[in-house]
Amino acid sequence: MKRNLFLAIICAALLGTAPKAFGWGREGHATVAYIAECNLTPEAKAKVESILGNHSIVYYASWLDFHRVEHKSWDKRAHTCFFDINTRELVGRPHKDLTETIDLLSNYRELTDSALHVNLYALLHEMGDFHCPGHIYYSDDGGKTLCLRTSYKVRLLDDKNPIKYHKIWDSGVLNHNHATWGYMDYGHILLSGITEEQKAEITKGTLADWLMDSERCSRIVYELVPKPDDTATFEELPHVDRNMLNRFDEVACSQMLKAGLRLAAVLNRIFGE
Amino acid sequence: MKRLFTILCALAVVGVSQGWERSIHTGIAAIADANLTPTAREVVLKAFDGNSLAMNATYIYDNPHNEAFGDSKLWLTVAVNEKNQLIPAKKAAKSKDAALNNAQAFEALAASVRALSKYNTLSKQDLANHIYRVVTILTDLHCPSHYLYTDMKAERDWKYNLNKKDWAYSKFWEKEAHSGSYHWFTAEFVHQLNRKPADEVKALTSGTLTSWVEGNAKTYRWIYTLITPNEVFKNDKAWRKWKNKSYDFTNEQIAVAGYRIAALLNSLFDAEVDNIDIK
Repeated sequence: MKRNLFLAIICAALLGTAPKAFGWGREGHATVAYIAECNLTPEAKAKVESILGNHSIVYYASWLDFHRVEHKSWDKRAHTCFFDINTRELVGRPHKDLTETIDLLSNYRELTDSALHVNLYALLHEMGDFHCPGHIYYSDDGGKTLCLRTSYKVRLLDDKNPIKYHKIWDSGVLNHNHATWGYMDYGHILLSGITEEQKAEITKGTLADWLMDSERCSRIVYELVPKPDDTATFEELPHVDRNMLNRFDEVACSQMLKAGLRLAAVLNRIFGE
Repeated sequence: MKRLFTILCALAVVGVSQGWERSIHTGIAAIADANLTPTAREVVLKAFDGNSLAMNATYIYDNPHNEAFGDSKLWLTVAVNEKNQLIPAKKAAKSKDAALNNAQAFEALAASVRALSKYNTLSKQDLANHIYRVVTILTDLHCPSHYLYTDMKAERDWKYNLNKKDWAYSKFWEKEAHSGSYHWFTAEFVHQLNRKPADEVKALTSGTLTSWVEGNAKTYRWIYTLITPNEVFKNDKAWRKWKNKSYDFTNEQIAVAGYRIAALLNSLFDAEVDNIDIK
C-alpha cells in the first residue's frame, strides 16, 4: 500500500513537469531581436510595432520556428546559411531568399498584410539564425549538397551519451553558460560595453558582407570540434569540455550582438523614414 | 527513505495547489506593479517593507504552513453554471459534484477586498496577508482552466496524449500554454505585455469583480473547443502546430490579470480612483 502510494506521488510530481527546451533557440533569437529593438530609431520602432499590433519585435523572433509546420512556404525558409568550403563564398538559396525578403520589405507599402507580416517575421528570425555559428554550413558543389554541417555527434562535458553537435549550438552554449539570464540581461550586458564607433563598424557593408563575416567568425566551430570519422567510437568523438564552452560563449555573444545591430540597421533603413 | 517520501509529498501538494506556474505569477504581479498609482504603490510598499508585488507574488505558495493561508487550496477555482454565472461558495461546498466543493476562490477574493476597503484599520500583517490573497487569487482566476463549469463536467478531466504519454489538459493551461513558447523572466513579462494603450486598459478594467470573473468564464469556454478528449499528438510537429493556437490567448490573459490587479489595488488604496465593486 505504502509502496503504491509512494509511486503514485512520484508519478504525480513528474506529470506536473512538462519538458523544457531553452537555449540559443528562443533565448538567442529573443536576444538578437531585443538588441535590435534597443537600437531602432523612434520612427522605425513605432512603425514596426504598429505593424505588429503593438507587440515588440522580440515577441515574433521565433515565430518562424513555431509556425513553420503550418505552411509549406514557411517551412521552406532556410534556417542555415551555405558557403563554398573552398572559396568561402556564399552559395545556395538561403542568402538570396533573405535578400529578396529585405527587398520586398523595402517596398512594404505594396505588400499584402500577410506578406508583410511573414516577411518581417522571416527577417527577424533569419538574421539571428545566419549569425549562429552552428547554422553555418558548407558545400562543395554550389550549395546543392552539403559536405560539412554541425550534424555529427560529439561528447559534451561528462555526459555518457553522445549528443549532436548542432544541439549544443541550438540549446547548449547559452544554457550552459548563462542559464539564469533572460534576453534583457543579455541585451543590457552586451550593449553596455560597445561604443557608437564599434556599432558603425559592425553595421557597415551589405548583407553579403555581414554573412561572410559571420562565416569567418564561425569557423572556430569546425576547427575546435572537427567532424569525426563515421566509424568513430564514443571515446573517439571530439570532446566539448568546459573551456570550449567558455570559448563558444564568447563567439555566441559576439554573434548575437552583431546580428541584433545589423537587424536594427535593416529595420531602420526600411521603416525609419 | 522517509525523508524522500516527505519531500515528494510536499512537491506533490505544491504541484496540485500552485495554479499558474511561478514565473507567470511573478510576471503578472510585475505588470500590476507597473500600473499602480503612486498612492497605491505607497500602501503596497509599506505593507511589504519596501518590496514590490512581484517580490511577493508567490508568497502564499512559499509559505504553505502559514495559518493565514491554511485554506489556500480552496482559492484556485470558481464554479460557474451554464450561463457563466458564479455559484456561491456555500452552495458549491455542499454540492454533490465533489469537484465544486473546493471552488471558493471568488469568496476568498471578495472577503479580502472587503477587508482592504478599510485598510487603514488593519494591522500591517493583515494588510500584507490580504494583498497576498488578492494578487494570488486574481492571478489564478485568469488561468483558463481554473473555471469549473457545471455543464461541462467531463472536460475537467480531459487528457491529451503526447509522444505516447497522457497529460492533464487543465495543467497545459497552467504552464505549457505560455512557457511552451516563451521563456520570460520577470522584467520581460512587463516589456512584452505592458504595452496596451490607456483606453484599452480602461475597457479591460471597467466593471465589477463579478463581471470580470463571469466574463472570463464565458471567454474561457473556448479552450474546450480546441481539443477533443484524449486527442493524440503523434510527434512534436503535430504538437507545435496545435500549441500555436494557445500562446497569444494565454499572453492576453496574463496582461489582463496584471492590469486588473493594479486597477483593483488602485481603487482600494487611492481615494482618487473610482471604486471597483464586488457585484
